[in-house]
Amino acid sequence: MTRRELVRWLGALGLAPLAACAEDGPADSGTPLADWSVDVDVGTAEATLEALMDVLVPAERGPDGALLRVGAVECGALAVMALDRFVPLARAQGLLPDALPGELEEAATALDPVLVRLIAAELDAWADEHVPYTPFRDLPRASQEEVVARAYVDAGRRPIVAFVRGVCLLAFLGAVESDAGLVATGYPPFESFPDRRAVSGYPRTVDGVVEDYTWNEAPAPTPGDDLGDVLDPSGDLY
Amino acid sequence: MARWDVIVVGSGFGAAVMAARIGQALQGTGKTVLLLEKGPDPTGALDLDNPAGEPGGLPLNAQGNRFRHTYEPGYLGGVGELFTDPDGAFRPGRPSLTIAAGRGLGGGSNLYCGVSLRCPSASFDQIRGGRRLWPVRYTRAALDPYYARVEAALRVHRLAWTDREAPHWQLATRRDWAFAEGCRRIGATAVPLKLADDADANEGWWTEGQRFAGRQDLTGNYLADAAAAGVVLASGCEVDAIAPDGPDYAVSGTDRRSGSDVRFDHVCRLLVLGAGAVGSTGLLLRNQGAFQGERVLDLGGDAGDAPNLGRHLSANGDYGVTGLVGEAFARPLHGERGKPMASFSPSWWRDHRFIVIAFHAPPLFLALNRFTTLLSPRNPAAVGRGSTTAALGPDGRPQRDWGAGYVDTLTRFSERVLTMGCLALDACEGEVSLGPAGTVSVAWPRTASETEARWSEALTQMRRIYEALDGELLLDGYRGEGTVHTAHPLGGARMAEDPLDGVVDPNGEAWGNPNLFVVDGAILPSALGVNPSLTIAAVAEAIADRLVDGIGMPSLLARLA
Repeated sequence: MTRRELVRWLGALGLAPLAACAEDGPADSGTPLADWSVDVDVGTAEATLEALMDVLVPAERGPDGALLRVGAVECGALAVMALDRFVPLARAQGLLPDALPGELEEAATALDPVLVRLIAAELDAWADEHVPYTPFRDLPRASQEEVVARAYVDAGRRPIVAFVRGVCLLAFLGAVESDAGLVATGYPPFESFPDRRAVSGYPRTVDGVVEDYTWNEAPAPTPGDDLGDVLDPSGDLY
Repeated sequence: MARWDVIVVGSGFGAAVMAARIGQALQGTGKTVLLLEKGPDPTGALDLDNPAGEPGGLPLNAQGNRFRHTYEPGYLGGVGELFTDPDGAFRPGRPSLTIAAGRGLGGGSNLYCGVSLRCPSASFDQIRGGRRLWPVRYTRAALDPYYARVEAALRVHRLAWTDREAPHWQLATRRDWAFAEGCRRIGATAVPLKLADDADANEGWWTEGQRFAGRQDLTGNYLADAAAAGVVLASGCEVDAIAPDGPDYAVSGTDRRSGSDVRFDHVCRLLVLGAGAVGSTGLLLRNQGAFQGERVLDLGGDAGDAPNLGRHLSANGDYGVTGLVGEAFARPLHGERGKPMASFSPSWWRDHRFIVIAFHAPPLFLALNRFTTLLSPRNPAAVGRGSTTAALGPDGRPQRDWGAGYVDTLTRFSERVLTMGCLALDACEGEVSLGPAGTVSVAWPRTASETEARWSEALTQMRRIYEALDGELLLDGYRGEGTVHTAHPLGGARMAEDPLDGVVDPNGEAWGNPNLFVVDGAILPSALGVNPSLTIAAVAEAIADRLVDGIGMPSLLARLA
């Protein structure tokens, strides 16, 4: 993958601000990515991105730090962001247009670490504006939220947080890596997440009590609403 | 270049019926039929270790039902696609129309909720410009035998409220009971729907990647019949070029089955397009230049300055809203359980030509579609085009759709969320066109006053239902964003009695192009006001009968002689 290709793909992902950032490198836009690096190592970049994810869809912790409710990070948001799985999922959910270059999915593996490092570098630049020389992940939570809030009202930065927000919600509510977010939202846990077996609604027994999806009771008739000339006996409209 | 007698493009409700009926008619004749589907074959996703679904090799849930919930990209990412316009007509940067369409072997049946209502007579009898929109042969009575045939194939049955009337698995859900109670409180009535399922285990989740034995997608009936009759089903093969080639048609595209792109070139005598309203129309638009002279594809546009191809696209009057019900109805709601659609109210059909259906919208769907609205206890600005769906905080600024407060809202409101939508007769205001790069784009340039009136009335009634349930309507994509959302696109290459009024004749055969058929939602000339899958399949059955038997046109065998 070359820098030129990277810029094109970032633009297709709706991450034009990052595309501009990627163009700030060496003059030869055809430079292979392998010969070009963002000044953040992958491990640090992932920690930075997880800090952003925990601001967008946060976990809830007690005073002792014990986890009270999972957030996007605990639901595997970083793994969900792996582009070879995120792109088709996000496309199906309307987060990405269908007209992405077909090669993106093939090149996703190569693009993943670069994208993470680009976003992390961008976040650190925003953090630097807020508290000089302090990376985003080291900012106090209130400052991190302020950085994100500012990004939301900045047309040049909003696409980046919107992209990560989409990743977070997909992880939290989409049961891609874990059903913990759905459980936190009030849904029953999967019977077996590794087998992708969600809970059946057909009469099931919970703690010895039948829990059913039906009401098994006809609603009371509506006085004066005669459907005789509207609905045929088989349930179709005439 | 491979030669086939018949090629069918697509595998949804029109294409699958045509493939099955043509395949059966040609069985034993030595004639060859190929079906090309651009998306994947999702049938294996039922269970990767046991695609045939044999007991014993399949993971069962606690109730002994075969079930798999999956967000695996190979499944969900492969069976749906969205069409939209990048520059919306009403708001810069907001689409005016978004269309969710099925993809993969089975087409729309991979995404539908199984609702199988026959189209009412009033929809066939619509008059516009002094003329009946539908060809005269299409009436409810004329299609009833074909509806019955499709209902048998898809195992359609009517649900019930109690298990005194039907087996327990055929009952409407708690969500439907709450919806019915809301209807009753405002003087309307909800009734159980007709659904295409068979021993559905009622896990819910239909809209989130579930595959199970109950839901009747087309792979288990029409496409299975086609395969049994010798039709070659080729998924992962996208057709991008069609052109007349003397008495034949050249069909070219890309085969992605091997994991890399391989071009294919076929030729056939009879070509059936069934790639859906947007897919088939887009394919015709992309190749319009190959049809010249007497074979021009759109006489209305060529001679009469009234183009038909890409025009008259209906959203089937789809208008969905989301809101909350009061705490008292929260527990009964259990929105995630059971069939995603199981009841509807026809009470407004007589006077206003719309029905209202309650359905389950999964939390991810709501979150990605500006669930932020639900942050506000009251959001009067959510109604009226040009308003915003973003809830406003005490300072008048939009509330955050991220952070701890947002997650609190998601968790607090989950049991109270009820989504409902109307299906109405619209005026086919939509359009399909090609973008600069040849990509298919759709748009909704304006809303006709008659459509606006129906939607306004439907919105009023849906809001009354929420309020009757001590809740409120909060999320309204059309009024808030200026975006029409539909999963039921119809038209784009409509059929008509006169070649100046449509792209295909009442048999689905393209005017001026013998043996080129379009048989899917693209040829339906109007909104139906009910979910369209059953009608698309019934129209295909009717066309297939006439083609096979040569009623009012040369027979299939005569065409292939």
